[in-house]
Amino acid sequence: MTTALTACLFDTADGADNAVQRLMSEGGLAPGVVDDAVTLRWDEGAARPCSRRRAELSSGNALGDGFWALVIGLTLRVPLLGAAVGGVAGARSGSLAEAGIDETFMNRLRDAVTPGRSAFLVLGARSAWGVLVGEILRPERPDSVATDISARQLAALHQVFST
Amino acid sequence: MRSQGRLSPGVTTRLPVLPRKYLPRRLLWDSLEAATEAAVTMLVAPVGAGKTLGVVGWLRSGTQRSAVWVAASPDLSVDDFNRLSTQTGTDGEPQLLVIDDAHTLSGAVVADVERRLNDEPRSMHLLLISRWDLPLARLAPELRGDLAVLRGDLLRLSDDEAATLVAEHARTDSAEVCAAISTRAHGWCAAVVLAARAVAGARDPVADAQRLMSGSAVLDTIASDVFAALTARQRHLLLCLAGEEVASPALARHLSHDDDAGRLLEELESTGLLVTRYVDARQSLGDLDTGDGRSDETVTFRLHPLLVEVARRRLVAGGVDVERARATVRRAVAVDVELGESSGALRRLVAIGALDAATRLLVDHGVALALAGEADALTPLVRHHPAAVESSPICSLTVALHRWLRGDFRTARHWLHRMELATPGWSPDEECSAVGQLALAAARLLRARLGDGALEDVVPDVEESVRRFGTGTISHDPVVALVKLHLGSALIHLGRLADADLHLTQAIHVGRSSGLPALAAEAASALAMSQYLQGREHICLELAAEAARGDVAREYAATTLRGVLLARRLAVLQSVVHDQHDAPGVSSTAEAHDLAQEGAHDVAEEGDVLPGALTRLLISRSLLLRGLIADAERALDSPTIRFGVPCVLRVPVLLEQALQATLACDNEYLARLERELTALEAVGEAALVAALRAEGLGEPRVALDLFESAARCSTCVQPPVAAIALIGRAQLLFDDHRVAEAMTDLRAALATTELRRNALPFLGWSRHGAPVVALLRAGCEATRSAWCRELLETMQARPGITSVAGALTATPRERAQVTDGVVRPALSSRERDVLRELARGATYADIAASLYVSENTVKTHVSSLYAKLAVRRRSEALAVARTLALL
Repeated sequence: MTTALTACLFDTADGADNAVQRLMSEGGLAPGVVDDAVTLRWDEGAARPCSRRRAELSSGNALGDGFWALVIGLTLRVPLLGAAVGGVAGARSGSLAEAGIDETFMNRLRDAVTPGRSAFLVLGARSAWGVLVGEILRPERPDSVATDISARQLAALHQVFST
Repeated sequence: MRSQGRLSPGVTTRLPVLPRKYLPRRLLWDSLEAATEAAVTMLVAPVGAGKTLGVVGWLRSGTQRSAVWVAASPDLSVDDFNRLSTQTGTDGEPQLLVIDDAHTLSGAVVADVERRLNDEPRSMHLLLISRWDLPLARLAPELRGDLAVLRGDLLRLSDDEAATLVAEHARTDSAEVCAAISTRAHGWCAAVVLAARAVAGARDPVADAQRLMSGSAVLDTIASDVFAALTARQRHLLLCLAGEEVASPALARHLSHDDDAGRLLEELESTGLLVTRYVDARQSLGDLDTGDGRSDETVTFRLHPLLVEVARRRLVAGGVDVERARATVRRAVAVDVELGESSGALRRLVAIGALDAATRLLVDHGVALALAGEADALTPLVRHHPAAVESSPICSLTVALHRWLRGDFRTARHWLHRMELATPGWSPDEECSAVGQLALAAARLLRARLGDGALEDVVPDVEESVRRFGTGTISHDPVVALVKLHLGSALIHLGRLADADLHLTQAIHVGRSSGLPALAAEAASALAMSQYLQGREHICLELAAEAARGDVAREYAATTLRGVLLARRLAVLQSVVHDQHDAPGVSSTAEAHDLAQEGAHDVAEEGDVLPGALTRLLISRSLLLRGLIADAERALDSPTIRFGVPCVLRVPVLLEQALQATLACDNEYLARLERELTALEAVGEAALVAALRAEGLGEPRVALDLFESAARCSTCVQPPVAAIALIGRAQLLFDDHRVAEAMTDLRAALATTELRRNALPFLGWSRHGAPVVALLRAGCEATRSAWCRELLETMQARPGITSVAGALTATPRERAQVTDGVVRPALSSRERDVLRELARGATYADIAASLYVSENTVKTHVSSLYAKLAVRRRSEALAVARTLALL
C-alpha cells in the first residue's frame, strides 16, 4: 500500500478547518485511512500562516510534531525567515526530496497557501485517501496535490521522527 | 552600419539569441523569404506562437542577413523610428528593421508607418512582429505589393515538430504523452513547450499530461505547473524580476540578492521559451553562435510574457515566496535610494506589491520623484490603494503634483482638496515640521493657481511660511524649491515681478543642484515670462533656450512643455519684425494660422491662466504684425481675457487692443480704452491711447503733447509705451521740420529698444507724422547707431503700419454696413486679382493692362465679383472685402 503526503487546498481561510469538523461530525474516519494530519490557514491580513496538528485524526502510525514542524518549516517558515532578513535565505537551503517530499510538491503548497486560503495536509494510504476526497469532501471539491512516499522512505521517516 | 544617433531613453536595439534547444521553423522562413520582398511585412500571431524566435532563426538561417532589431514600446518616438528605418546597408538599400512587439507602438509611429507606406514605401524595409493587426489601411499597399501580411497559422507546429519539442522538453519519447499534449495544444508552440516541461519531472507523465490538457483554462494550469516545477531559487528570481521589461545579470543579482542570478537566467534561457537572451546590437548576428556577448555589459534577458503573467498572478495572490521576493526587492531599492539612484524605485516597489515601502518612499522623496518624472508608477498605486496614499499629506501632494505636471488639473485639484481635508488629522510631528508646513503652503498655492482661492490672500501667508521654514539646511529640499517655483509664478500674476525673479532664480538653482531638471526648466520658463513682461526680451530668449535645452520638454511634464513652448514663441515673436522683410499684410495667412493652432492647446488649457492669456496676447500680436487686424481682435476676444486676465496683464491687454483699434480707425473704442486705463491709474498709457485717438481725429498738435506726456509718465514696458510715444512724437516733429527735437526723441527711443531688439515702436504708429524710414535715415546720419542702421535696412521696403493696415482693415462704419451672417464667398483666382487691383484704386483700363486681358473681360470679372459680394459699387465691394478679410 503506497503512502502519500496529500494536501487538499481550499479557497477560504476556514475551508480546511470546516472540512475537518465535518469529517469528525460524520463519525470520524475508518482506521488506517489517515496516519497523521495537520491544517494550515492564513487569515487575510495576518503576517504569516498558522498550523494546527489534528491529533483527533491521527492513528498509531503518526510521525509526530517534529515531522510536521520540518515540512511546514521548510515549506513556509524558511522563506518567511528569508523575507525577515531581506535575503534569499531559504531559496537555497534544505530539501526533503530524499524522503519522498519533492520540491514541486513544496512549491505547489507555497503557491496554494496564501492570505485568505487554507490547506489540509494528510499523511496516509494514497488509495483510501483518494476515496475520502472523492466522497466526503465532495461539497468543496478541493484541488489537491500529492507526493508519494515509498515504504522505505516511510520507514526512514518513522525511524527519525517517531516519538 | 551607419550610426543610429541618439534614441529615446528606454529604446534599445538588442538582438534576441536562439536557445540551445531550437526547432527550425521552415514554413515560416520560406514565407518570410518571399514576404520581405515587400517594403513592409507584418507577422501577426498570438502570444506564445513563437514569432520572435521564429524570425531570429530565419535571420540566422541560410544567407547572412543584416538587420536592426528593436523591441517596440510606447517610448519609441517617430524620430527614433525614422532614425532606425533610414539606416542603409552596404548596398545602399534600406536595412531590414525588425520591430518586435509592434502592437505596443504609439499611434504616432503607426501613423508614420502608414504615411510612408503610401508616400514613399521604398524608403524603408520593415518587419513588424505583432500580437494583433496594426491599424494600417492595408488594401492599396497590399495590391501594390508594398505590404505583406503573414498570420499565425504559419507558426502552427506540425505533429512531427510537436513531437520533437515534446521529446526535447519532456525528456520522453512516449507517443501517448506526445498525443495527449499535441491534441489539445493545436500546434501552439507555447502550450506544447510548457506542457512538456510541466510533465518532465512527473512520475507518471502520461497521466500528468492528460490532467494538464483537460479542463478549460489549459494554459493557466500549464503555466502554473511550469512555475511550480522550477527550483525555489529560479522562482524567487522570476518573482523579483516580474516588474522588469528586460534585466541584465547585474540587475537580476541586485534585485534578487542572489549572486548566482546571472547563471540562473542562463539556465532558464538555455531551455527555451521561458527567458530570451538579448545581446547588444553592436554585435552582428554572426557573432551570436560564438558565445560572445555573454559578458554582463552586453547581455540582457527578457522573461516570456506568459511567465511574467504567472509571476504577476503569484504576486497578487501573495504567499511566503512573494513575501521573500518583496523583502529582497525592498532591500535592493533601499540601497539604490541610499546611493541617490531613485530611478525606477517607486515602479519596482509598486510592481512587487510592497505598498508600505512605496508609501514610505513617497513620504521621504515623493516631491523629488514627481519633479524628476519618476512618479508614473503612482497611477496604479492610487488606483488600487488610495487609502495608503491618503495616509500622508506629502503623498497626497505628490499625487497632485504628478497630475499637475501631466496636465491633469482636475485630478490635481481633487487631491489638493483631499490633502487640506486631511490636515486636521495630521500628527503633531507633521503639523510642526517645516516640510509639513511648506507642503501645505505648496498645496494652497497650487489650489489658488487653479482658481480655488484668491492669490492675493494666499501669497502673503506662503511668503511668511517660506521666511519661517524655508531657510537653513532645508533650503535645498525639493519641497522648498517647489514652493518657490509656484510662489514666483503667483507673484508674476500679481505683477510683483522683482520678487518673482528672486524666488524663481532660487528654484532654478535648487533644481539644477538637486538633479531636478524639470523643476529648473519650469522655473526658467516662468522666469522667461517675467523677464519678457519686464521688457528684457534678450534675457527671455536666453532663458527660453536654457529651458528648452536637452530633452526636458519631451521627457517631463506637460506644464514644463507649455512653458518652454511659450518662451520659445516669445522668442519667435521678437524676431518676426526683423526677419520679415515683406510688408505686413502680404505675408502668408497660413503661417499665422499655424501659430494660432500651435497656441490653441495652451489657450484651451484649464489650470494656470497666465500662460494661456499670454499666449493669446502673443497670437494676437503676431496676427497684428501680419496686418490681419480682424483675426488679431478675435484672438483677444475670449472669456479668459475679458474676465480672468491676471493683474499683470491688464494694462498690456488694453494697450494691445488700443493698437488694434488704431489700425481699424475705431476712435470710439480708443476712447473707452483710455477711460479703462485711467481707471487703472495708468496715466502715461492712457495718454498714449489719447494721442493715437487724437491722430485718428486729425488733431496732430494735440497728439504731440499727449505723446510727450505718455513718454514721460508711462511705466508699462510691454508693449514699450515710452518708445512708441517717443517715435510717434519724433515722426510728428520731423514732419514739422523740428529735426533737432525729433532726433533727441529718436535717440532716446533707440537707447531703450537697442538691447531688447524690440522693433515694435518703429512700425510707424503716427498717421500724420513723417514716415519712420525718413526719420531713421536722418537718424543714421545724426547718430552712429548700428541698431538704427539695422532698423532702417529692415523698414526700408515697408511702409508705415497704419497706412498698410488701414487699406486692408474694415472701419467700424464699414463693418456696420455689412450685414451679419454674410457667408464668405469663394472667389476665383482672377476675381481675387481684380479685387486687389480695385483696392489699389486702379481703373478698368489699368487692370486690363496689368492682367493682360481685355477691358470687357475685366468688366465680366467685376460684375461676377459684385454679384458674389452682393454689392453694387466699388466702395461697397471693398468694405465687404475688408470685413470678410478677403484682401
